[in-house]
Amino acid sequence: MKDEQKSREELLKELIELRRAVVTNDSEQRLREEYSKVKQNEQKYRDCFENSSEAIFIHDLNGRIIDVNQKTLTLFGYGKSEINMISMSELVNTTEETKYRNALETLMSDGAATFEIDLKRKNGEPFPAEVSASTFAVGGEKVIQGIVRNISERRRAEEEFRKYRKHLEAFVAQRTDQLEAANKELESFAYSVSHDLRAPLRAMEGFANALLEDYAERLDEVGKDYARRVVSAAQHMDILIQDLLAYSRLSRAALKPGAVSLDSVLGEVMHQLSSDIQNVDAQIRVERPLPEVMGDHATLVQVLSNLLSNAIKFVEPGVKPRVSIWAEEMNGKVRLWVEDTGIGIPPEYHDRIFRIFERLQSAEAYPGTGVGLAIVKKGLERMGGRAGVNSTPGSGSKFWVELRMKGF
Amino acid sequence: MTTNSHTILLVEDDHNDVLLIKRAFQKVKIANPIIVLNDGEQAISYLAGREPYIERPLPVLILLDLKLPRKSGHEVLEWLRQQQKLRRLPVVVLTASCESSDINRAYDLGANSYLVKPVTFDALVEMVKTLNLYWLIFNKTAEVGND
Repeated sequence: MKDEQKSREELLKELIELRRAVVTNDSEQRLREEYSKVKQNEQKYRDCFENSSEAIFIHDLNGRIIDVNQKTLTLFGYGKSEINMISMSELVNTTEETKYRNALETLMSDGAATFEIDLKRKNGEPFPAEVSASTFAVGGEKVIQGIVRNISERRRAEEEFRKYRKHLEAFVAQRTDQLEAANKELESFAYSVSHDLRAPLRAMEGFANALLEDYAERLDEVGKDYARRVVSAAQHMDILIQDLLAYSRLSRAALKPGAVSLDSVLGEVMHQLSSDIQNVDAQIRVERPLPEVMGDHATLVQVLSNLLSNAIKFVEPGVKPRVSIWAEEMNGKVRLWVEDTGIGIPPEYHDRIFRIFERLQSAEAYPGTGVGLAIVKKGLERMGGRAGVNSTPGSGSKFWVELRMKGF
Repeated sequence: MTTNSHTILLVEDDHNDVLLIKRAFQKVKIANPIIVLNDGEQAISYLAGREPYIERPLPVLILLDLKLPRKSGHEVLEWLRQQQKLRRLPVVVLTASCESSDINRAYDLGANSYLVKPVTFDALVEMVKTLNLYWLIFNKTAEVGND
């Protein structure tokens, strides 16, 4: 029994020791594992640092380099042992010292800074770089860590971009000059059209007239008819030239847009057309007051003059023209309507009539040049507005022009 | 220098226009003699009284075209307004151009009136009729040839 008891105590001791041994062994194992894990982690960070595609550096406040990665060594052309011997300032291009000092001051006061600066390689070759750096503490000591990027490529691209932009500016300036020259030429062309082409017309008209007056008794009816045809053809060509000139001037002239009273525009137009209105005994009803619109006064007079003279011209023979004019306001726009009781326009021609020289009627039935509605359309385009027509043959036409309301 | 004449000076290079303007004057029965000069240089020589115009009568009215050989109507006008003894002569521009740049320049240089040649002869007759009434009958001309 005693033996048994002893052995029992001994057994217990052994058991405790054994257990202790087991525990010790266990923690040692764990420690070893922990250690290798830490080492692995450390290696992982080191690998990250070393293999980063960015050039990373760490230095102290005196500029002594503490650590750099492989990319930094490649960038500056130093070996690992060499770079630990030099200070940061030796990597900065000599011309950039003040800039570097200022950047360091910002970095120290703000804790972080990004700046562009020219750095230099071991062989003295400078290169433009962007540096992003920040400060942090290691074991109570402040250090500076940052990334250096070679921005030669970006600089080259920027330079290229600048060159292209300069080239483009020069190109645009040259084209503008050419356009201005072309415009000048067009103006002098229009001038010679107005001046030189009309001189022979005056002669044709004048001398055919002289024939009719001074040699009337020596001309038979056919001869007189021929002379009269020369007169009317010359007169028609004169109107054609005047309309063309008006159209080309409208395309080129500098407009003076502003608030324009449609009442005053219409008043001027009625005055201009007063003899035509009287000749055909036209009835014109205007719903006054008409609003003010944003446009150019002279252009609007031209536009409305064409619309109104069309309205009193294109009626069935013997019919007294009746015209209504009123305005509609909506969404900041004004639509001015000119409604007539004329012959109307088939829908398929509603677009075509606004083109230059387009005519639907023979010149014998309704004289004209086919420029009037082209002037209406061009004028509205130049003023930022629109024009159109609603019409069916036999029941008149409703022409409209649309412009921004005053103040919109 | 003959003053107080009734001569009208027509500076015009287009012979057709000269004929038509003369015919219009006849129609309106204007008796004033018309002297025609065909370019700007002739006009200046005439007004200055140089060879071969030493004995020229000074006109009561100048009808001046703008587009002229040698010297333009604008140049004639500019020269005329700088002449101490001639600058008060009334000048009516009679031209085909209705370009506002021509019109403005003519007035800037001292034109008294600006008329655009009409294409129809009837309109020309109307214009000459009014011209006669206004410039030759109603209008009071200034002294010319005195400072």
